[in-house]
Amino acid sequence: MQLDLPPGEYFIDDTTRGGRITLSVEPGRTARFELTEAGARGSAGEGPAPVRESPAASKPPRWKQVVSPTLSAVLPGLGQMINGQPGKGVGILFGTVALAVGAAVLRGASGRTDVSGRGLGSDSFGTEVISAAGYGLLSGGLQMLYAAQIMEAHATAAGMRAPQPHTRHRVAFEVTRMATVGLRAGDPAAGFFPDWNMSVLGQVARRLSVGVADMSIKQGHGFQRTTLQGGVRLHYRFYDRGRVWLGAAAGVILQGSFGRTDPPRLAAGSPLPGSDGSFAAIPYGQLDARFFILHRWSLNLTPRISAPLAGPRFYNGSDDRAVARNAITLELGTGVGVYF
Amino acid sequence: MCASRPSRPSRPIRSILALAGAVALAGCVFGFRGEAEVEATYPLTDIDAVQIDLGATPLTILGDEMAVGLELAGAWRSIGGSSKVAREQALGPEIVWDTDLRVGRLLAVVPLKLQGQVDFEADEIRLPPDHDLVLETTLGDVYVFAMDGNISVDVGVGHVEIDGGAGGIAVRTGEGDLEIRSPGNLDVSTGRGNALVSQSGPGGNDLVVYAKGGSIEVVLRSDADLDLRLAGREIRVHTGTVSTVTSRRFNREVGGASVKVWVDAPQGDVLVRLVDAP
Repeated sequence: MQLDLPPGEYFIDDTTRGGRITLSVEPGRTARFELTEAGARGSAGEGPAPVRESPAASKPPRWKQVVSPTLSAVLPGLGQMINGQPGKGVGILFGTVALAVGAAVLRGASGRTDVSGRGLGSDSFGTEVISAAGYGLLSGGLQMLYAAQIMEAHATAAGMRAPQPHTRHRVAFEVTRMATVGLRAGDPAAGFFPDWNMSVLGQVARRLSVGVADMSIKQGHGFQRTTLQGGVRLHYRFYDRGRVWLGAAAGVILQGSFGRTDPPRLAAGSPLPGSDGSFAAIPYGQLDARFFILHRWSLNLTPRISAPLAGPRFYNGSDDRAVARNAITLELGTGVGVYF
Repeated sequence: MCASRPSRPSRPIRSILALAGAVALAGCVFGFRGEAEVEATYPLTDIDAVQIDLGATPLTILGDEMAVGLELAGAWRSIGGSSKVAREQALGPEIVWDTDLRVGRLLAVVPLKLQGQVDFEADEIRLPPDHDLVLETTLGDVYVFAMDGNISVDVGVGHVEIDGGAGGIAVRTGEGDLEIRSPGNLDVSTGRGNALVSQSGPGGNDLVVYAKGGSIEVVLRSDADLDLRLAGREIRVHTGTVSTVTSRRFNREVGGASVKVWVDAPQGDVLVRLVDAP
C-alpha cells in the first residue's frame, strides 16, 4: 500500500507484537515500512534506518508516575518540575496563585460593612452579581486547573501522549460543583450559590448511562438545618472521538431539609422548639463536555437548566443560600470524572 | 495496527460547545422580589429589659417618652420564582413578642422552608427611654439614641453608634467602627474598625475600649482621678493633668485613680484628650 503524506513525523503501532515505529518523512524522500516474520521495520529515504524503541529506554521511571502527581497535589506545578518541565511547572504555579488571589479578592469585594447599612438591597445588586459571577468563574477555573495539572503530571511521567478514553466503561464516578449566581432577600442582594455533589452512573448500553446523581449533605443556618440531596439521571453520550466526549442528560434532584427553627421561649416551662421540614423536587436538563487527560480520568464542564418545584433548593454555605421554588436556574458545573 | 491523527470536533459540535459556553456564562437565577410592611406596637407594662434579635438587619432604636410601648416599623423582603410566590413568601415569616417576668424579647421567626428567601429589615424601633436594651444582629449597623437604661449590643459585622446609655454600655462588634457618647460606664470592643468614645454629662465614668485592628480616640469631660492604662502603636495624651506622646504602652494614675481609662489598640494609635482640646 502506498500513501502520499506530507512531510512530518508519523507513528505506526504494532498492536500484535507491541511496539511503535517512528517514521520521519522528509520533503522529496520516501519512507518505507515492512512487516516481516522477524518483526516490523521502517526506513525513511536514505537516512539512517529507524531504530525500534527499547521499552526499557523509552519508559520513564515508574516512581515518577506516583511522585509527580502527588507533588502536584501538594504544590501545583511541582510534579511538572520533577518531570523535567520547569517552565510548565512555574506557569502552573503562577496561574494557580493568580486564580486563587483573584477569587479571594472577588469573594471579599462585596460584603462585611459594605452591606451592613440600610437599604442597599437593590442599589448594590449589579456589582454583587459581577463579583459573584467573577468569583464563580475564577474558583471554577482554579478547581479545573488544579485537577488537570495533577492528571497531566501523571500522564507525562507515564509517557502518555494521547489518552484513549474507555468508551466501554461500566461505571463512572463524578464529583461536581454546580454553581450559579442567585438573588438574596437581604444584603448582599446577590450571591454565589455552589452545590458540591457526587454521582455514580452505570453504562447500561453503548453511550447510554443511568444512575444516582447529585448526592450530597448540606449544613446551613449555623448547623441548625440539614439537607439531604440525591437524584436520578439518564445520560447519553453523542460524541466520543479522541479525548473529547460530549453528552446530554436529564434527571431530577430530590432534596429534603429538616431542622429546628423556632427559638426557645423565655418563660420557664415553655414547650421545646418543634422540628420543621421542607422538600423540593428539581427537574433538570444538561449538556456536558468531558476532556480526557488520562485514559480513565476526565475534566467535566456541565451547563444545566433547572427549577425547584414544591419547595426551595438549598445550596452549600454556612449562611443561607437558597433558590426559591419555581425559579428557573442556569448553572455551570465543573468537576472530575473517573471511569471503570 | 492503526495509524491515528488527532480529530477535531465537527462544525455542529463546535456550535453545541459555543451554545453550552454561552449558557454557562449566563449562570443565574431568574427571580422576583416581594415585600410586606410590618408595623406593630408591643406592650411594655411591667417590662424592664427588652431583647431584640431580628436576624441580619440594621437596627435604629430611639428612646421616646411618648412611645406607648415598643413600636416597630419595618418590612419583610423576599424572593420567589414568580411575583406571586415572592409576595406569598414575604407574608410567611413572623415577628414574635415573648415575655417572661420583667424581660421582653422581640424575635424574627423564619420557617425552614423560607430560610434564605426572606429577610426582615427594621426601619425604626421606638420605646420609652428608661428600659434596658439587649441588641443582637449578625450583619447590620446599630444606632441607639436617647435611651437611658443599660445597653448591650452584640454585632457580627456592623458599625455601632450610641448616644445615651446612662445605665452603662457593653458593645462588641466583630467588624465595624464604634462611636459612643455616654455618661455611663463603657466596655466596648471592635475586631476590625476604629473607636471614638466620649464621656458625656459630668464625666467621671469608666471607659474600657479595645480595638483589635483599628485606632481609638477617647474624649474626656474631666481629667480628675484618672487611671490611665493605654496600649497602642502611637499614644498621645492631652489632658490638663497629663500630656505625653509615646508608643506601645503608657500607664499613669492621677489623683485617686478612680476613673478607669483602659484603652488597647494593638494595631492602631491611641489619642486621649479633653473635650475642649483640639
